[in-house]
Amino acid sequence: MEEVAPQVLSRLNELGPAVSIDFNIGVEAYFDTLTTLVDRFCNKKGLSCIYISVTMPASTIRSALQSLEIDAEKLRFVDCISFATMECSANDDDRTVFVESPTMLEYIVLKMEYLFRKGKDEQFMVILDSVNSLAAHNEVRMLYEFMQVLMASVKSRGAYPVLLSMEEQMKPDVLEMLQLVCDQIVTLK
Amino acid sequence: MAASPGAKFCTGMECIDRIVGGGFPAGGMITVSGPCGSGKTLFGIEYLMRGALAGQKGVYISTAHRPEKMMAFVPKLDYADAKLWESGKISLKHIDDMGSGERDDGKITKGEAEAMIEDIATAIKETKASRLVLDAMNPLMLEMEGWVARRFLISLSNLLFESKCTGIIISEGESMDTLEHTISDGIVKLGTAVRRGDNYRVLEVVKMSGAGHSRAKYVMDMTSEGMLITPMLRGV
Repeated sequence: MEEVAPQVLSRLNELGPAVSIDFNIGVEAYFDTLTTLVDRFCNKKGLSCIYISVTMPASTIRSALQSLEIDAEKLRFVDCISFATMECSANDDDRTVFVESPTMLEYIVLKMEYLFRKGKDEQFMVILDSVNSLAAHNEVRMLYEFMQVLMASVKSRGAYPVLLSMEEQMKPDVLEMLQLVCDQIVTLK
Repeated sequence: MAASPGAKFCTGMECIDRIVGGGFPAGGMITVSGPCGSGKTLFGIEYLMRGALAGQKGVYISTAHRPEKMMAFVPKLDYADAKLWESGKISLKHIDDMGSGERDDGKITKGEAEAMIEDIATAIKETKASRLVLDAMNPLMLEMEGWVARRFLISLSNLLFESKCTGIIISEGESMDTLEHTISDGIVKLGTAVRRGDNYRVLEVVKMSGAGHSRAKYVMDMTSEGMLITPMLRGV
C-alpha cells in the first residue's frame, strides 16, 4: 500500500474548498488518513475542523491525537455516539457537541451549523466519519437526503467537505448514493 | 401613521425570515403557539434581542412569571449581551401592573380589557417600541369571557398596526382553533415530532398574511447562537 498522506494532500490541494470528496479507505489506513487531514492539512493551512464522529467517541479521537502530540485546538466535534452510550458528561468542553442518536440526522446538520456560527470568522473543513457507520443506523434514502442537505450547507460556507468511507464495509447501495452526492470518490491504494 | 400594507418586518432571526418570505407583516400580530417546552418563550426573547441588536426597541409583557424571575431563567446567549435587557432597549412588564385589576365575578371586564390595551399603548409609545411580545395569552383568556377576549385581541391587533409595532402573541397548546389564531396575521407552530422513537423539536409556518411562506416542517434547535432550523427529512 502506498503512503496515504501524499495521496490525501494532493487531492485536497488540487480540488480546493467547496468540492466534496470521499476517501474510501481500508481499516489499516484509518488513522493515517485522520492525522493527515487534521494535522498535515487543517493545522498547516490554519483551518478549523468540524469532525462528525459516528464511528468512535470524540474523546477517543481526541486522546489518540493527543498521544501523537497533534494540536487539536481548532478541532470541534459533533459526537453522534457518546450520548447513546451515556459517555458524555456536562463537563465536556465546549468544543464537543452531542447528538442523541446517529438516527437524528437533522440534528447533525443543526449542530454543525451551530459550530459554524460559533467560529463565524474561521474557515472550516468538515469531516464525516464515516458514511458506513451512518448507513448502519439509517435507510439509504434518508441518508441520501441528509447528505444533500449537509453538502449544500458545507459548500455554501466555503468549507472543505470530506467524507470517510470504509472499503471493507461498503455496500452497493451506499456506494451508489455516494456517487450521487460526492464530487469525487478517491480510493486510497 | 399605520404600517404600510404589504410591508415586511425583518425579524433578524435569519432562519425565520428565510421561511416567512422576508419577514413578518409589518405592524402585524403573529401567534407563536405550541405545547410546554416547545421553545415559545425563547422564540419571543430572540425576537426582541435580534431587534435590540439592530437598534429597535421592544416590550416584553409577561402574564405568568414576574420579570425578575423571568430574567433569572433566560439562558446565556452568545449572540447578544444580557445587558441589552438592562440598557432599556427591551422593557419588561407584567400584565398585573397594567389596567386597574378590576374583575367581575373573577373575570376581566370589558372596561378592564380596554384599560390594559391603553397601558400597552402607553408602554409602546413611551419606549418607542417597534416590537412587542405578550407571553402568554392563555392566562388572560382564562380570565376573560369569549367576547371580551375577542375585543381585546382585535384592539391589540389594531393598536400594533396603528403604532407600527410588530407583535408576537404566545399561545400555549396544540389547538389551532383558538381566538388568537383566528385574529392573528401569522401563525408559527412549534411542537414535537417522533420518528423511529426519536423526539424532534419541530417548527411550521401555518399562516403568514400576504407572504408566500414555506409550508415545510423544520427540525429546530434552540442554541446559544440563536434558533437554528433545517428541513425535516422524509426519506422518500
